[in-house]
Amino acid sequence: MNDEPNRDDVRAALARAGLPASESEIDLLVAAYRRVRNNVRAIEALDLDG
Amino acid sequence: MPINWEFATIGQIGGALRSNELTSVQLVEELIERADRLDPVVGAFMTRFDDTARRAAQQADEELARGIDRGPLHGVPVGVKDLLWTVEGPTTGQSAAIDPAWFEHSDGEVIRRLRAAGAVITGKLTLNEFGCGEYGGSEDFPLPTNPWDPSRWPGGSSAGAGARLAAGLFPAAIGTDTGGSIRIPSAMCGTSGLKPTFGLVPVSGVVPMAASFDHVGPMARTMADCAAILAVIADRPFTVAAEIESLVGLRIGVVREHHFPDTADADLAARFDDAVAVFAATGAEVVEVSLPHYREALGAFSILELGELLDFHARNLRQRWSEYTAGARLLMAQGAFASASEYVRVQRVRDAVNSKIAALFAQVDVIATPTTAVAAYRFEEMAAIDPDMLLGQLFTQYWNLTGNPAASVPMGPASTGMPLGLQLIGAMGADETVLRVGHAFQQRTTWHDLHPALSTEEGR
Repeated sequence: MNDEPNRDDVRAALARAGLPASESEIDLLVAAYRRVRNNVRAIEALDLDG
Repeated sequence: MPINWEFATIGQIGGALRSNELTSVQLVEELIERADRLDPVVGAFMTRFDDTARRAAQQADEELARGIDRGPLHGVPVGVKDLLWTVEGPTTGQSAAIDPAWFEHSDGEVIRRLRAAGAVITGKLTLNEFGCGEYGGSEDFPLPTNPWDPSRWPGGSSAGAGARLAAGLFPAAIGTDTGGSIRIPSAMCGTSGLKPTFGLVPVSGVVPMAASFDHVGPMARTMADCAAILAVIADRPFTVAAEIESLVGLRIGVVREHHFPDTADADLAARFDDAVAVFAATGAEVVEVSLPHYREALGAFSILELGELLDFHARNLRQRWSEYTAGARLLMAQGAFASASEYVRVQRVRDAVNSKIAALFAQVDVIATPTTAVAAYRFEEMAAIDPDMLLGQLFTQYWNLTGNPAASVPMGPASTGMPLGLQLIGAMGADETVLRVGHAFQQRTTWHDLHPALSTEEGR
């Protein structure tokens, strides 16, 4: 997994969903992408039985 | 002392209608005239239904004269968020991207129940686009402002409902709450609102935001009024006691962890401590509690909400991307940032949180937190706010993840003089307990009786 998501990751995710974001919008979404990925990592690390 | 009808409660209006002190037509005409004067400032209405409201009010008066009484909402003006379908007009979701064919011009189930109870639907109320995007301010979509200070946000997304209640433009509203959209404007406008238990109020005929988090609920001046509205839209009895309510035997769990960030208003802790002291004085036992997996639960909420939001809009978003506001489309796009297997894992976290919250409610009857850490921002401040900081100041989303009933009632002013809200949460299905505790609080405080200067100065 790429530890430091970047605009290429964002572009690929949006392309998979078929969303026609502009390059400037992709730039704006990088921070949001990192936030989502950080949330996913925190949840994957959670011990649900603890 | 004469009653200011624009700030009257549903109970006061009901009494006046039945004693011939007031007619529904008189009340509707007064509120129409008031909306003509104040709505250009408050920006609460997306669409007004003046003509049909007049006819419904006349019918309500005629029925009461013939001895037909449909209950507490009979003849009472009610506004509805512009995500609920009504037969009078379009449901826009405050969006230019909407396909008119999506939403028929018919009543959703909640609207049908309101009309059957004699309520007078007076118009559709502003929000931010689909409850998640940018606020209006364009020619087509009015900008809702906070009646306590029009340079400030009224909270979202049921912004028009909170603003209009606070401005005295009607006594009751129907909002929706996917991440706090009933409770946040209630807190920031100094009014009362309840997100009922998930599933208690039908969402058919409501434009979805995130289907497993969407709630429809009452917004009003008091918890007693919220109970009257909930009884109609949930189609089951909800009442609060007329006499002073004792809370002896109830346990109130107070949450402080994560709810007083460094960015909190300087007076938040004092207001919250005062509120907790009120409960102690009612005879309730007050205990400190913590919310399980708090930060992970908010992360889970975010991932699931974004996925469900994108799921509903994906097809339209691909075809009409630029017609959505930038705020809405960029939020929806974030639903593409987690995979299906991650979505499933997050659902397991949601189940675990729900189990632990159910266990916590075996120990306490109601949980109390601030609704938000801060009062309403100035619009000019909002563009510069870091999203993480803002989310850390709103304490509502956890309860959309779990589905528990959660109310917000006014608990006094922030350091800015703007209202702050107290959030009260109950066990699943214990909506009446939340209403009862909120009502007991309002029997012993007067914050819900305060009105902004905008309304009183420019009023009658």
